[in-house]
Amino acid sequence: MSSSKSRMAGIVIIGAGECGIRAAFAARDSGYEGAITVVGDEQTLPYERPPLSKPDASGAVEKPITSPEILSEKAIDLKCGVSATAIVRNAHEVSLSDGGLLAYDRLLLATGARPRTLTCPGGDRAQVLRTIKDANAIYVAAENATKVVIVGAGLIGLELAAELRTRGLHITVVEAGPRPLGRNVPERLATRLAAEMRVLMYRSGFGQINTIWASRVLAIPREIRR
Amino acid sequence: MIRVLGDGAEILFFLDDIGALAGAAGLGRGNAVAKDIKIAQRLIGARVDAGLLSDPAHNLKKLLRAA
Repeated sequence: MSSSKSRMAGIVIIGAGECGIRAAFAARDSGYEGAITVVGDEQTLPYERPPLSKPDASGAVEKPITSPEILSEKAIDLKCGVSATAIVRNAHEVSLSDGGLLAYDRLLLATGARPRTLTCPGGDRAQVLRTIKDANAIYVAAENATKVVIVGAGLIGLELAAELRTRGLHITVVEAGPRPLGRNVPERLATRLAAEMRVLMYRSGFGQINTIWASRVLAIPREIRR
Repeated sequence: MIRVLGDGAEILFFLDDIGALAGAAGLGRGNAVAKDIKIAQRLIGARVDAGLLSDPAHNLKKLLRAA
């Protein structure tokens, strides 16, 4: 299918998270010799996201997945702070937010997940947690906050709840489902995890985290801020 | 299928309708479930004896060799 010209264009990977970078390494390590370009819209080197909800005293811990040295050694071109704006399939090209155009032989979409945003009135004022920037915005805001509402009792929501509770904040978790961790942990383990978390918080003297099950957020009143 | 490892550690196995391992999830302190989860990862897609999965005395590695 590809002409010899586009074959030289190499592999383009959209998304510079764990998946995008690992895919680039895998292609190189399995002997691919063409160009490999990874495009990511964040300014930083690719980093692990699980630590974002496990901060230390100075904020979110940045754990890079790779280094400039490794990328250069593997001849992987990482374009940071650039997002893909269009894919032109018949031309085998991706247009970029910086006005550039990238030709590809093979294209991988590794853009990952996005936080579900609240569509209710005022929902745009809720802070999401996806990037290290988001995480630090949360920890900075927590310094002057007393009460926090966390929407979602998944792993990230509960970890954040525990973390902020240990900082003395009053926490309420709102979950649309009937139980915690409903989407990614089997019920038996989810029930145990939530119970152990309650016990641990109580024993450590942090008291309880309020939880409201099977409820949706209908609106965020104007006086509530980020 | 539940494999109870002791000290609160346990692994849940999920089989599909032909008896092949479709998934596994574990909970335990420290690295209590790490080794078995790693083996389970390699067993995904393989037909496995459900009775042996839930028998903590039966080394999962043996299932790997049988698969």
